[in-house]
Amino acid sequence: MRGIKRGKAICCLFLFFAALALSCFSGCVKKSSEKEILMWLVGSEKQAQKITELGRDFYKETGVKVRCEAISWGEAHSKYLTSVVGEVTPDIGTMGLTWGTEFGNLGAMVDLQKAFPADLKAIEDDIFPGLAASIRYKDSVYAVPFDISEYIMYYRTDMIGKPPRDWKELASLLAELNRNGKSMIIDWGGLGWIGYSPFLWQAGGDFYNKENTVATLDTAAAETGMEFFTGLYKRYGVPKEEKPVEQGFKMGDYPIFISGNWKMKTLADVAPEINGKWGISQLPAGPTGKRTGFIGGRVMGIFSQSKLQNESWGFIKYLSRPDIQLKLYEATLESHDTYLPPNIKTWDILPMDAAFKGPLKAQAFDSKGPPSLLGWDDSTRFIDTAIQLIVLKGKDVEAALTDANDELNRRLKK
Amino acid sequence: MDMNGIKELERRGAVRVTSKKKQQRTANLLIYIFLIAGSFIMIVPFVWMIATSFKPLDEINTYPPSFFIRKPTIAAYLELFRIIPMGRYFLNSLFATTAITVANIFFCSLAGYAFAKHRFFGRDKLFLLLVGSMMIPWQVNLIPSFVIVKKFGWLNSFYGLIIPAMSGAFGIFLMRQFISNIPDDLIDAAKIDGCTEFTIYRRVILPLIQPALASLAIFTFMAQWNNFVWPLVIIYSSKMRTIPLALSVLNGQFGTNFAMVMAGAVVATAPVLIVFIAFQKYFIKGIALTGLKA
Amino acid sequence: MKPFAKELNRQKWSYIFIGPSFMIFTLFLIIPVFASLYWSFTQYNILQPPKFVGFQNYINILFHDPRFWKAMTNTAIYVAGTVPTSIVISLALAVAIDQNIRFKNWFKTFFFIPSITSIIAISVIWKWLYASGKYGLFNHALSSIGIPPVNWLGIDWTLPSIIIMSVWGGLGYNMILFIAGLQGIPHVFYEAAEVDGASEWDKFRNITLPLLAPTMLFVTIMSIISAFQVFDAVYIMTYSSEGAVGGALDCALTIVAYLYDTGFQRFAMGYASALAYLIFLVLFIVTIVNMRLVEKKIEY
Repeated sequence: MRGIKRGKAICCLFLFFAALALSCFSGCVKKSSEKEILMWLVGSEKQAQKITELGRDFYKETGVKVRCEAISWGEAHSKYLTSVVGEVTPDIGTMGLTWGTEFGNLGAMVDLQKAFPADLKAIEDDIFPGLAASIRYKDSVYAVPFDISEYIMYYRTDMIGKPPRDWKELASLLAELNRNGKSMIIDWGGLGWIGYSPFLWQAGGDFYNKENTVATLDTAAAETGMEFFTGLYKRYGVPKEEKPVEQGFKMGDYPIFISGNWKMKTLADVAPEINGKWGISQLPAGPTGKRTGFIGGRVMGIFSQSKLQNESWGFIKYLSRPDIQLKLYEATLESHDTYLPPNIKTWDILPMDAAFKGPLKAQAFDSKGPPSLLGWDDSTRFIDTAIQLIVLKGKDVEAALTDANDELNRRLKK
Repeated sequence: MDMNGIKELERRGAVRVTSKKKQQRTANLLIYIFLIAGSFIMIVPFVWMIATSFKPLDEINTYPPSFFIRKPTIAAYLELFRIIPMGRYFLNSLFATTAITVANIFFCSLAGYAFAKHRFFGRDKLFLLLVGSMMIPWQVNLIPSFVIVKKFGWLNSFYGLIIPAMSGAFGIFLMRQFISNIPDDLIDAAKIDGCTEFTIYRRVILPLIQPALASLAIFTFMAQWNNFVWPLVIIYSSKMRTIPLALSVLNGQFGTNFAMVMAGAVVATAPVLIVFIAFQKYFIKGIALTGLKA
Repeated sequence: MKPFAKELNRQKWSYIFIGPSFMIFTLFLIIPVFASLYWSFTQYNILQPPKFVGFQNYINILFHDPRFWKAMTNTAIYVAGTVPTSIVISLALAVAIDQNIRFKNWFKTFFFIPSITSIIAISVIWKWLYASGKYGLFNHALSSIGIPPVNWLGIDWTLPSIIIMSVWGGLGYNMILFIAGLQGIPHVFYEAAEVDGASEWDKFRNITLPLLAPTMLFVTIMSIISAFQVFDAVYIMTYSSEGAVGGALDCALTIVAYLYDTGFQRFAMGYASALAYLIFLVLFIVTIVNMRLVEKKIEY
């Protein structure tokens, strides 16, 4: 008896849901004849909504609708991959800096250099030079910057009078901090290639030669950079494991740290107690006098399967305009997102405190992105391994770099 | 036997009974301590999750994580429901998950019964294939399954969400293990009474495996409700999103409104908790109906 | 009726019963499994057609890939560390809850709660528990009893730390299965044993354990399979901003984390499929051995 009753209940439930589902399906079918660009944003729902909102102004100008949907960072790579396989790609995709080249070489993305050379040049001229170099692979460009994220140094103004301007000052500052049981944190890409790259560049070295045909980690400059970088961990107590940066900074155990620009936002949210007691500065200069940092960010490109390639390009150009980037920046001030415009001209009109704008802009001008070559993502782990072997296992710097260099060269030949 | 001897025996008996009671009581006490201490360790992150969802912005992200809320607020929930159509996503998830769970209970127990108690051609080989298929990491099956769903035209639909998950190797294996415990006599007796195979399944097997069905329902509901990767690849319009998909984008690139993420997690967890509590009672039901008592 | 036709008629119901399940299976499991089996003999980046390379992937993995062996070793340590511990504790929990005690349902719910808590909440809390130096609770507790702090997420301790977290998270799951199994044991057996004057331990050894054998086999096999394929726990404890997973010097790289890395981060689907089949091979052998062992015990 009871069984039958329950069975009936389940049937009713099922019918209810079936009806619901049917109503959903019918809801999805209606389609308008108007053109609509679909854009996927790797990032937050809020930012996506802001872009859809900006798309309404774009619609007034061009008659093309825009819908922007957020996808999460962790799974974006596989999401794009399957969308290409399933032929359900969006028109515009935003993605990590190196993915454009990667997907582009597999034929999934439009070569902007071939399709829109004149417009592309205009965009490239206005973005920070380090980024411009990173998006170009041989004679192709598959995506242009959507925003930037860059390395910057944070310090407690109430504990450290002046930020260190070069390696020497950094070393003596750390020695002094160490005496009081304090130190520095390298947060973004610590114990990895991203953390090493500024020191490599500041020492006058690079990962490859200019043509990206030979790895150059066996040079004296690479060794100088590595020696200093790993020395920070080995001699000056920079933590080898992840530390709660904001907490350490707030409590003063780590009154100085290097991280991405987004920590400005996080600090303001999480540690309001120390508002006004910290500042940012460019990275300390190496022996060459350069203060080069690392720059990354999201890029946007057009998928080859898109039927609205011209319209999509129109919207990408739109998003590259200073006045539009300004609106995006202003929108993120209210939310917990971070957005820094890649267009240099936007920076002239950016309503930001000069104490922050100055160092950020200067650092962005003196920054480099990851080398632009196929298989870079596959090579980075050899550099990571070298760094970790030196710091954690006490391996000789020169030997570790030589091994990494061999691996990098081996991958170039493939 | 003299009187003394009898008294002595009685005394011993009394001692045995009271000492047994005492033993029982200490044993129970130990069990309570064990369970209470364990429970405490288990629920810490959960409590923190709920606490965080009610915190104002300047209280979240404290380190060490704090369980106390100075000024509780429901701002995070309001914000959550404002920026994403949670109601719609909730129904999407509920519909897909319920349908999958009901289908699994039915199909898995049916197949599990056949594997446990029937003898048919190819049974053991099929079963081995079934168990073997679980040993291939799902990651490599993702792309081919996706292509097949696409060939059927089920991308971005409930068909694509539900049909591939309607039965599973795990469920069939689970059911077979439990049903194999049921004595054959019960089934034979039903056969002698002239029951058809389906009646045996419904009248004999199903009542006996209620604890196992409850487990299967809980696991299926939980796994499907939280399923992330499959909906992620086959759903590409915001209308069709399920709860986990909606929550994943709450997490921004770097800075995050943690209270909102946790509020989302709480909303997402509630149905699983309800299903768990609802099905729990069937763990006890099963034994009362075994029919073995007589 | 001919015996064959009669036999077929008798088996008809069996096929009807397994029919729906097997239709779904064929489509979404067996076909994909064979597709990836084919891919394991190819070089395949998913977006361009696969190129047949014979056994090259397998040869490369087995003879030229130190990361594979590192991942295998880590995985073996992980399986050995989690499966027996988790089974013993969750069986103890199930037996404890199955006693004549109050608040049964509360305890069941509490122990199951980690399985439904948001993975983000779990990772935040555990990262705090494990944080190095004075920041972490574990180290705080250790130092208060005079033990120097442990570097929980350093290269030597990451894998054990993940094992502890996994055991914690998986207890409720196995406990549910054991409770279901215990509920299925008819009380008459215990009553009979009590008449014979058996102790609690005797009852557990001679009634509970043997009658729980099918559940035990299921839990063991499923635990081994899922422990071997561990991914989430490794991911949340070791992912880095550059998208790498497995920790410094691959100290906690497990085999499926490695597979994910090759297949979806580096687009080497052929190689990843070959990895999957090596995982399959190991698991298959382990499972067969397991089944044989238990069957022998059941048959007495």
